[in-house]
Amino acid sequence: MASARVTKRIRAFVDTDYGRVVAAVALATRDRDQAEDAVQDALVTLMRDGHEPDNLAAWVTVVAINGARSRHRRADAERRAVSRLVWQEPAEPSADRATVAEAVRALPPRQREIAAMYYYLDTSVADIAAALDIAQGTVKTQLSRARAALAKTLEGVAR
Amino acid sequence: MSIDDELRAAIHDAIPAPRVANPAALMADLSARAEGPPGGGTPPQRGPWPRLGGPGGLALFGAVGLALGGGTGWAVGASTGGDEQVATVQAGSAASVPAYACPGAGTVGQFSRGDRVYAIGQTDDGAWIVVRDVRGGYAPVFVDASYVALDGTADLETMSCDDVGTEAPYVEATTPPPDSAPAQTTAPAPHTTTKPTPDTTPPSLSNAYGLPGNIWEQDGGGITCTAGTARTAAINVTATDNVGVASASIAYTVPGAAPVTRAMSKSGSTWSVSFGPVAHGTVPEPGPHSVSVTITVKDAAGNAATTSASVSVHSIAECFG
Repeated sequence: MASARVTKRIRAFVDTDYGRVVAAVALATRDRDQAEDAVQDALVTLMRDGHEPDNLAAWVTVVAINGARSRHRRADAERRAVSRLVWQEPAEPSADRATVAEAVRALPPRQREIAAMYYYLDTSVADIAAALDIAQGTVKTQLSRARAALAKTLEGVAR
Repeated sequence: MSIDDELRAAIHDAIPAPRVANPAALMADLSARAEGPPGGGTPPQRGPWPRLGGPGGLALFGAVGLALGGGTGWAVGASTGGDEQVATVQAGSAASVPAYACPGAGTVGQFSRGDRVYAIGQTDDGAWIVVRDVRGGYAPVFVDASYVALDGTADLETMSCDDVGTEAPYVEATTPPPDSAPAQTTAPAPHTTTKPTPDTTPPSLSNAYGLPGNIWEQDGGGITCTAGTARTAAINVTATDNVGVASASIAYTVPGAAPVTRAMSKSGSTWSVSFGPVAHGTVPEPGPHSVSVTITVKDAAGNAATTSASVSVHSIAECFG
């Protein structure tokens, strides 16, 4: 079971990072509902095994993305989490914003995951590599491709 | 501003982070789940009349448009395969709404304002809605219709008290004879479902090992081991199952340290997780100490198989001098 220190970290995470991590997982998996289920499952896992990742947000994001993917694969996926988030749409919804969000969602899965962590969660390349257990070079390659695709969209929006 | 900064700003702008309505309630729920059985998501029943909304309630304070897939996987209670709808409990100025096993009978629990539920039926006069908690696990109950806001507009099936409160029995599907008499309409027919064949086959395990087989405590106490000395080992096991492996974990106790339990991660059919590191001064001297690692693998039905691997833990004192 988690130590008091881990529980304290998780509480701080819930207070400050939970919402944006769920949003990042939703962005990466394109499934808002599964995202919150998966993030809660990841936190429960953390509480059970007492693991202490260096970058908690990155770890939860990756575990939740993998969990959400598994749920998609399971025909009998069980929706266990209790949704407590209040989702807010942008104050002034615009076509431009929708276009940028859509462009991220249109990226290939790996690029989408890495882009969500890098651009939305502001996770460093090193932390993304560590959380995904891949080389930093691989992260940079995927980011470079994502950047190229997204920049094109951004240019179109700016015109 | 760099292109990365521009992208970051645009994406943040496009996707505002949602906020947690009740962090304390969320923490309480996570803790309750962590203390429950592994893989179990449904909270335990708390007393004879559970608070249906769970600890802290499902405080959404407004519909968020969850797409729950028409109830697939939630076949609990008196679902008869009719239209089911996601709904939100609205309590006006009150904090909770009573739930009844039958209109006019005593209450059996309560929902909080904003709780998300499945509406599975209604009384013939439409005054009461039959709902069940979205997390399953509870029998359907009746709630005053004025407290339930349905997400959809489809008609709900008419239900009586007799239809609610017990789990629908499984009935093997049969084909009626062509000249059979019309079915009685005065009593509801039991829901016809195909009983699933239970999976009782546990996962099959092989090739369990720790790599490397020897590790040393972490540096400390003025003693430093040579570079490259292993401080952690990878515990691996190959697991297969007729349906699919759902989870794997290890448990071990290093002499002088608290027991450790860790979830394993999957790559193909190989599951792995790290063992250690072990803080300096943990293991008694002289060493090394062979530590047995119990590996437990489960499938989705809860069938478990165990095997073991071992890793030898050396004291940092061996590196002295």
